[in-house]
Amino acid sequence: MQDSNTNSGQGLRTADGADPSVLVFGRQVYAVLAKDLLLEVRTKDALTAMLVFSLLALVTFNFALDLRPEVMSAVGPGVLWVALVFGSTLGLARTFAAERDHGTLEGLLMAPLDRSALYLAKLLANLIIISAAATVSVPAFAVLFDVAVDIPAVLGTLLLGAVGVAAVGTLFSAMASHTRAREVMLPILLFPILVPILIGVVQATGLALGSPTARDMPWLSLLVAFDGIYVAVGALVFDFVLQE
Amino acid sequence: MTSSVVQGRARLIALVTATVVVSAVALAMMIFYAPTDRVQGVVQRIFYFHVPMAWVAYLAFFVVLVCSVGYLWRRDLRWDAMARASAEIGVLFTTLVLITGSLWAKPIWNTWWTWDARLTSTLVLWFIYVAYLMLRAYTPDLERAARFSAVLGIVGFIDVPIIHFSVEWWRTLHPEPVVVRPDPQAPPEMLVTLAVSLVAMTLVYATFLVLRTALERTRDENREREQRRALEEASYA
Amino acid sequence: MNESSAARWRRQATPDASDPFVSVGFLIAAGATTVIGLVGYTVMLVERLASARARREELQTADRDSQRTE
Repeated sequence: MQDSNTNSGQGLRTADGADPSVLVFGRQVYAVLAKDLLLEVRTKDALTAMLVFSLLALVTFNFALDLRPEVMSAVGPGVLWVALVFGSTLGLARTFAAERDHGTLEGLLMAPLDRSALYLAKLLANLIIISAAATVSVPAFAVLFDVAVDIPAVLGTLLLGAVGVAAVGTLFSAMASHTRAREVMLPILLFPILVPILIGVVQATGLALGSPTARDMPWLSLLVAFDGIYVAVGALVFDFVLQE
Repeated sequence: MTSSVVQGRARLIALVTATVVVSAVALAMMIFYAPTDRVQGVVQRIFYFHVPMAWVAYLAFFVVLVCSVGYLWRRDLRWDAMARASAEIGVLFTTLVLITGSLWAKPIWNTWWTWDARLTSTLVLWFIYVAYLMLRAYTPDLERAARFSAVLGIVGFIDVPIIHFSVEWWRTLHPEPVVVRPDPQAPPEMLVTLAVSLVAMTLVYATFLVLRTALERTRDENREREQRRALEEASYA
Repeated sequence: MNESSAARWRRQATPDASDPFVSVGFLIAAGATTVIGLVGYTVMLVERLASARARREELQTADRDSQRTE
């Protein structure tokens, strides 16, 4: 992964003399991740936005689709996932927009920091925040719509999907933060690319809820494969997005 | 310098002539030479331009991928100009593919649209490259726009097969390509017509790509000149 | 998958498809859309290219003039 940083031209290189580079890489990821999470714990900006938006989306869907218990096993997975993904774009958009607004992006870019480590740290921060939001919204979904949900199973599926969302979302939020209409650009870039994740998560959740329309496929393994591809491609091309 | 311009012009004239001639031949063949499909009737002839346009759309997005890699590797705006050009042409062809496909599906499937694998992934593809064009339009700095869209050009194309297979596993209802299906075999007249149409449409794409890239290059050049003049005027004042 | 999808779209097919007038109508509509799209794009390209080249001439002339005055 560190190879993707070779043609970045600028930025100090970590001294590989004392430590094995894997350890250095791990420490870099940890440093940025800890910073982002501490910031989030203090402000709770992204988490609040995601949670309120997701719950509001669930309530809105209830009126828009007239969600009665008998239709929930078929429609429920989609409702849950759309609420979560739409909510998470709010948090994803802040990943780099906040760094730009505070003028701290230059600091991050000048720091002796591997770009892949930065990508991975930002991805993990997003993933943790999305997971936290999901941990609240899944039980809320079960209670509000009176669906017998195997909460650990559904939560696990959603988290597999969230890895893909965070992987692509982190990459695109770095690009969208430089565009004119950045709130608009992120979802427009994100949603078409994420169609496979959407299909995988909704089908897998459908199987878990006993939906009649879900196709019997190894969706969880497919999700793991998709996640692997998105994270690998994201880590490889992230360097190009941040070259200033 | 001038001889290369003359050479370029001669090559362009040759390309345009070939495009017009082969397109005329393809058009004549699809009207007079190809036999009428027994099951589908006359409307089956839509295939002779629908299928080639779909091929060209994928080709165009593949060219975007190649040019994106080329740009990130060489940092030469000529690669980017071609990527820009090919993305726009690809969106044009994808739009026409979706419309002509709908017009075929209505009489044959009795529906304008169905969410099967090939249709759905083509529609998602259309959205990805519309987003590509929007990203370019919304990123003010040219170098940055080139870099960002190159990243999207790569990620988007890698995503194409993933989207295709995931939608296929989800559900599908599209006729398998008639050409590779062993039975019933399409008559050779149909295949020849399709082949000529493929060549014609690829030539149309090549002509568009040359013209559109030249347009982008000229605009880049003009922008550079304008910026230099503005700088000079500012330094005089 | 071949069989079932083939069977399904044949089953869904309406008498429309066998009616030659309807069939020709759809073919003409699709052909016209394609021709309008491709020819329209060509015209737009040629026009834009002409105006970009004219602008380049303009800028080149202006550059030469300012060099002469210097």
